[in-house]
Amino acid sequence: MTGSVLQRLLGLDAPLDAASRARPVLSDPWLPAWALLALVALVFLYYRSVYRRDGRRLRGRQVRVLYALRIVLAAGVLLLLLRPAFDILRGEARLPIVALLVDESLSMTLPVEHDNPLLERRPDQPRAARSRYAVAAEAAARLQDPLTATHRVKLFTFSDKLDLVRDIAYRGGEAPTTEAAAVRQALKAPTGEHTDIADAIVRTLDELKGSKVSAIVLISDGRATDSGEGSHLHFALGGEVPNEDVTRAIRAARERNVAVHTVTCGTEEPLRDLAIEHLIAPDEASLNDVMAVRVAILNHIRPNLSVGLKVLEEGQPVATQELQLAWGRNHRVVTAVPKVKGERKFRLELPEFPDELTHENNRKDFSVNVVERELRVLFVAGAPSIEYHFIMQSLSRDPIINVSGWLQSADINYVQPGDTPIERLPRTLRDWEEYHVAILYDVDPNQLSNEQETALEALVRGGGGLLFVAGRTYGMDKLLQVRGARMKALLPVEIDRDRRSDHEQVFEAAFRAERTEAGRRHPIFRFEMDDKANDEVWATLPTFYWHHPVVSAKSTAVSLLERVGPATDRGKVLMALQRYEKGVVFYTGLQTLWRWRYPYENYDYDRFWRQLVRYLSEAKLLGAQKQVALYTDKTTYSPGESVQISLTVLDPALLNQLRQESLLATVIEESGAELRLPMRPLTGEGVSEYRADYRARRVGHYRVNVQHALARGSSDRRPLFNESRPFDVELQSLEFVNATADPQAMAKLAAATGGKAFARQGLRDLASLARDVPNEPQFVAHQTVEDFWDSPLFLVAFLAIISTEWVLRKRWELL
Amino acid sequence: MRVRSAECGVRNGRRRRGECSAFRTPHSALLLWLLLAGGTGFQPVAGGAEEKPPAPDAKPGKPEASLEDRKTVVGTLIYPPRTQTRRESSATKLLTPEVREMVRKALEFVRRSQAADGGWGDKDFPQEVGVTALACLALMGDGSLPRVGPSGRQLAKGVEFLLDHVKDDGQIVARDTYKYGPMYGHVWSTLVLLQVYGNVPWRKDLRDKLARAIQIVLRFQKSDGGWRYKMMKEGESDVLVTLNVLYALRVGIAAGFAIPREVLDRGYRFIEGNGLPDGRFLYKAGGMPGSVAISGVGALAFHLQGKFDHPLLVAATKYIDFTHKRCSEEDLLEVPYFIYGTWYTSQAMYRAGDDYWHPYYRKIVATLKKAQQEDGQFFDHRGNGVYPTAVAAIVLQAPLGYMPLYQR
Repeated sequence: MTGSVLQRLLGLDAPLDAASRARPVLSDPWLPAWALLALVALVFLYYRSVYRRDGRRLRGRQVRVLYALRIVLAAGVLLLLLRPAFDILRGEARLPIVALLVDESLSMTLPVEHDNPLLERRPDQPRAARSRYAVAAEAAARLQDPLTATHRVKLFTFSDKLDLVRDIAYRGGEAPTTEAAAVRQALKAPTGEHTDIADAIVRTLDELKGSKVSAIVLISDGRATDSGEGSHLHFALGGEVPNEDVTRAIRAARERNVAVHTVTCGTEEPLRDLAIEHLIAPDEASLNDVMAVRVAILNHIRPNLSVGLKVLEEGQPVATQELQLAWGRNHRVVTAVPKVKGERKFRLELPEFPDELTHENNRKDFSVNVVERELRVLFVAGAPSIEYHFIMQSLSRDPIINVSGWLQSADINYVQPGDTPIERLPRTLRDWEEYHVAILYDVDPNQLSNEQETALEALVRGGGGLLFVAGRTYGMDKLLQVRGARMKALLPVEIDRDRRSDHEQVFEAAFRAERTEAGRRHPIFRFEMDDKANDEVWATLPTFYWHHPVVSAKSTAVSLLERVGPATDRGKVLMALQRYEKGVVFYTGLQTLWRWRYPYENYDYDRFWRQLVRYLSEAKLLGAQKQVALYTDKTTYSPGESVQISLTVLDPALLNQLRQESLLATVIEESGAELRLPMRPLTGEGVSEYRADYRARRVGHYRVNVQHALARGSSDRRPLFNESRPFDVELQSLEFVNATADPQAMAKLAAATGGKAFARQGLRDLASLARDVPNEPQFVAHQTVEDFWDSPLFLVAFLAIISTEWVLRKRWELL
Repeated sequence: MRVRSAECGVRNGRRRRGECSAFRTPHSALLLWLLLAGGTGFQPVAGGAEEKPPAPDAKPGKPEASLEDRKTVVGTLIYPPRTQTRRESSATKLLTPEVREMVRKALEFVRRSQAADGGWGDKDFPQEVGVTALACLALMGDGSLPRVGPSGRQLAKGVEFLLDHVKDDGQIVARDTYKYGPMYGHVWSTLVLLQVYGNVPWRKDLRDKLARAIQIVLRFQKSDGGWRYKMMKEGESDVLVTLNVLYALRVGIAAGFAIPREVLDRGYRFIEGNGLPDGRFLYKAGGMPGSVAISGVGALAFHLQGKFDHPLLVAATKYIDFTHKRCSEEDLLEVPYFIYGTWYTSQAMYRAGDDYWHPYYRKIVATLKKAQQEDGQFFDHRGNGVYPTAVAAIVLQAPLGYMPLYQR
């Protein structure tokens, strides 16, 4: 009351109450100081002269009264000239604000885990109703209710831009409104192409500048995709690669003392999906032969998943392979037998499971040119041992192997065995050229001519295969004695040719044979894709009693199978392999491999010989080595993304041959422009992979090619291998590149700003977030300076003094 | 001499009198020889002296896989071959520790009973190349070769014994007189020598002796296309000896000997001509239907020719299957020369596939288990212990797959 009266008397606009503090001050005088002093002096002189004049007419007390009045009046005027004022300071309390930031990028369309506590599962629920965005909308709807009891809530959506969706008013102690439904309604479907979490935080703080922001609640999957390098938010918070944007956002939040609370939609576990990631199919396959397709299958359904992988040819199922898939990526070889020649379309198809991320990746198409071809094998044997019979049968049963046998010990009028019986052993170079593989099984070297020996060597040099099977009848020593130079060069092992066969010796002690490290990796010895399963197959290899004596494997060769146990004078190499220019030579010193018919009858025995013969024939039959696999880490890239080109050398012998060679990958653009990249071998002993990186800059269809001809090879310069693989560069959303959520990064962001993180089952406690958000109001200070020299109080006082002085002078008859 | 049906029956838990009498004919050595027939051999892959080369589009030795087989594809890494079977093991299912112990004891007995000269003999057949040949086959059944493997030493001596008894005319005989003729012993010995061919490098005479042994067989083919006990062209043939000879000749072709195809065709025709629609076979033309073992011989004749869908093969297989399922172990053991007969039936059933082979093998194991002596020996009804033990060892080791005669 008093303040109000005083405020009126002084003519102040601002109230003088408990919330304000007033301090009298002098405003700037309107006169300069010397003028004021001069005025004071004049007034003094004037009053002095007046006093002297009045003193002659009045008594002393009257003079003093008048004098006092005039002094007060002069002082008052002087004060007015100094413009007295009040400096008033007032405080104002405002409501705090909570900003809810909801990620509306496309990755939020991905489904969440089954047991997300914010979602109610219903049968036949549309995918949108179980998406991350649905979780985000639910989280926002649930949060706004407790928050509006103490705060104003501003709901933003963000992706590559920030939009205010709703400004939800403070409801105080009033009952909840229908705002939750409105929030759910407002958050319908995400459309953002990118996610920029850091920018969203900074822009929100800018948007709410001047307001008290109690907290930011960030509702997202934590994947930031604005830079094209995946989750840069994660990198920044992980401390691996500092990110300026995120650092700036954290600093801005800290400066405003705003905690960023995070709510993660989705989990770091991969989404439920069964996908054919990629496959490597041959460009060509043989009619009626097994066509193998290497396929990488991603199993994010459950561990140890049993599925039937269908192979369809021109839409018709031709084979089904039962697969047992471990969690994660599985590499398998799928096989089918093409029955029709020509360009054929195949499809691999996995079954569809409910709630998969997408069903589109459950199938993949590829085309193969099916050609009719024969693998010609010349099988020369010195005598018909049991192994000879079994090998011959094994090869004869094979649908694409056309074997011609030549039994040296046979009667002169004997019709030689095989699919294509021959009347004489090939003599000329041209005769031998007809074959892809020659097998010399314990041959009688005296029945081979010089011309045949030369032709055999030429066959191998040109890419053909040669298989030596050492036996007891003639032995390799005799072969080297009679056919020294060329055979010695061809053989992958060193044989002591002066060592005579001791036929009197009895071999009763069994020994085991084991694959060497190179043997474990070699495709000939690969019967199962899975290493463990393959080891189990090899564990069934029987014990042996006899093997051909050898000194060692040559330095240019690779020993694949060796005798286990104490060293003997017979050496330990049982099987070895070496490349001989474009061809390849295999040696086996075992003559009783037929013992491998136990326990699986012909199964592994046949596979071994057929696999071996195919391997030996490969370069000549297919025109180049196929013991390499070329692939890129993905098939589709975004512009600017790095393309990782890998070449795996499957054959240790080929690797041996490439040791001193430089490999180049050629990237061919759609326009035909070529770029050659050196391929670097990955470091490490026994490594079999070469790699090159290419930065894809332009959108288009690309092809990478790796072909290699030996620097010291023969004159025709036909490449050892020639592999190509296509890939595409296209504009694509990065939102689905890495579809897993990143709660770790979200937690780090929350921790860096003093906020709390909610994820997975922690979402059940989401309501506790409202309690943790500070709700102190915002106090705003208003400072004003109000003059009061022209106030009614001053006017009244002035008039009262001057009137009194006038009245007294009148009364005392001075006027 | 007649061979009566080997069928045996059990009615109300008791065997009927007079049934299962097929092998209970008078105990004569002649019967033994009549039944003591068999063979082994590799599957030749389009070879032989007078064979016509196949047509360019033909794939000899490549029987068409069934539709089901064609659907079963397997593969490996880059360039896998096609194989015709799945990795399924009959052997691990059938070769139980109990069976392995039976085999071990039987082979131990066979090794022990070898004579100092390397041969084997039996009570009725002393110093006999036939018994020696069966013993050698039994030792090869465990994966041994001459001078190689657990039985390599004994096997080498046995082979030496056989080689040393090849006469100038090609006959392989260890004695001067044979009551019924030397053909069985000769043919089995020829089979053994053919199988070790290529693994006896110290015997340079092997090929020559084999050539002579084969020539003498060819010389004595009878006019009906078959063979019998004696080395003579006159007289009638029987299916058992004929099948053994055909086996040997078939392996001979695979081993590089020029044998006219016509010889084999005539022999097969002779056996086929003795088949009956119910699956039984006549022992001789115009004779009585033979035992289940002779049905095994008939079935094998079709298998060797690749006539897998011949109605007589199907009937013979079912007949063998039915008979073995119907008879108890005790019934089977009462059949004379039962153990020897299993050699034929086992090969026929092995080739018929696992649906026939598994129950058959298990029945045989159960039966033989009751017959094996403590020392590992098996006896026939005449007290011979070596050749039945050798045959039992061969049959029991069949799942190992080491013997070429057990091939599909």
